[in-house]
Amino acid sequence: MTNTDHKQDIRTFLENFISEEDFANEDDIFELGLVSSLMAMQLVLFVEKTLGVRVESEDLNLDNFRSIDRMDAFMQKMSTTAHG
Amino acid sequence: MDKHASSLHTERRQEVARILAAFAPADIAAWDQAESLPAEVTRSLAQAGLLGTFIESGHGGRNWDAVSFGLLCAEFGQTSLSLLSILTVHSMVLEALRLSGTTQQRADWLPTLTSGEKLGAFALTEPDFGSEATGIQTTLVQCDEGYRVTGRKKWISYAARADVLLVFGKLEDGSAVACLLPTDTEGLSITPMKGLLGFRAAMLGEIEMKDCVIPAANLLGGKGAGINYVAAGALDLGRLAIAFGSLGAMEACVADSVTYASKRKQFGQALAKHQLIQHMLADMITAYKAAERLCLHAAELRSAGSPMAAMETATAKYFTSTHAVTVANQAVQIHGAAGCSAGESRTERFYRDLKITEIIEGSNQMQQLMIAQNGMGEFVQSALRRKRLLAGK
Repeated sequence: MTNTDHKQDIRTFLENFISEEDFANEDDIFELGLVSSLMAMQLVLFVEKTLGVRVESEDLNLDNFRSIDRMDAFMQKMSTTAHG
Repeated sequence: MDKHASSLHTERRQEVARILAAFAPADIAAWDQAESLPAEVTRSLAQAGLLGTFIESGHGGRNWDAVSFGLLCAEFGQTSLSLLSILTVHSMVLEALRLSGTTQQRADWLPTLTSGEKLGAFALTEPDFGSEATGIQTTLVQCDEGYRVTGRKKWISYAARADVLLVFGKLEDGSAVACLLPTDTEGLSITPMKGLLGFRAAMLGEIEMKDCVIPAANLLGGKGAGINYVAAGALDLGRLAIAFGSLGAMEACVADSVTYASKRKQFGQALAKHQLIQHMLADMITAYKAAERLCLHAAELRSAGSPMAAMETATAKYFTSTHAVTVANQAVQIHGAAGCSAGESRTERFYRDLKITEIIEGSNQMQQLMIAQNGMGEFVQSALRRKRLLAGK
């Protein structure tokens, strides 16, 4: 799976919760108030479901989930770790 | 509810119902009046394997899916909402460990909690902070032995008897953390709380922690993850438990009302033959059926591992607890004076207890905020898709 694929998947998922029609991949969705802090848990589940991995406690950091770009980078890292 | 469940779910619900039927209605009413639960009740639930059903078998659980867990909660709610409260907070501690614990923490804590050898309680609320969980004042200060925990917690279900507390606090740098605090830790004192409107047998307590030392290994979920992940994950399960528990109590209120209205005669005919009573029964039955679908939908999404499950769980908790209070109100009305007497019916207890379900595991106003904020995108996208469809794009 390429970077672009992750970003589109993340955007499609986030669009279920964000009423703004336009938000950029680098936008901090928590800082901008586009989602509540409770969304963090749902984003962890999204990553786990998409990649089929478990997000361990040391990775439960809001910074990994602040924007589409950061989530994508985190998912790339998780993918690499999971597949060696 | 059974007609919508698979045969496996029905079997499991029947197993739970048979176990809970061992508690006589008079005893359940007595727990409420005494504002205490006999220790042998939780011991018998533990022996029956009902206190960690959703945990994987490797850690002593039974691998039950979310629908099975929900139906278990419905049976607890139908029996006693105080009992449901104890199951809920214990399950929230298990869920926090399941989601946020390290491999070592899961191995260390889950078996004894799943077996019910030890029971847990969820200590988030403080005297001055409830819904605004980020405002917690409990502190964890690093020391040679690990951390020193200092602060106060209030309205903590089962605190008066729990063996371990899942405590939320802040580190010196302000980051939120969660930790496991055994109740026999030096510096910890718990005062039972009496005179509550409902959940009287849930043994709520006020907790005072003065320099309670815990090892660093008791920190759960890492620094900064206390509220957004550990508490949020546990509360998500808690909301599912309260939604299904309210549903079970609602079912009991409808069943009791139908039975009573069919037997009691006024003006020469059964109450159920009077149209104004039928009006109330129709509203109660409709509310129950709608709540049942929302609860099962949320549980099915959770069983499938869907990231959308949390939103649907909040919706189910909000709708079910709100309507359960209305249904209990109508049940008391149908029962008349008998509905106001603990010795005559259980509707007065359900009425008092169900009010609490609108407040706990996130007040219903917090659920409304979540539903509105997180649900708007769904409808914007739906409108955009419709626009594109009609434009032929």
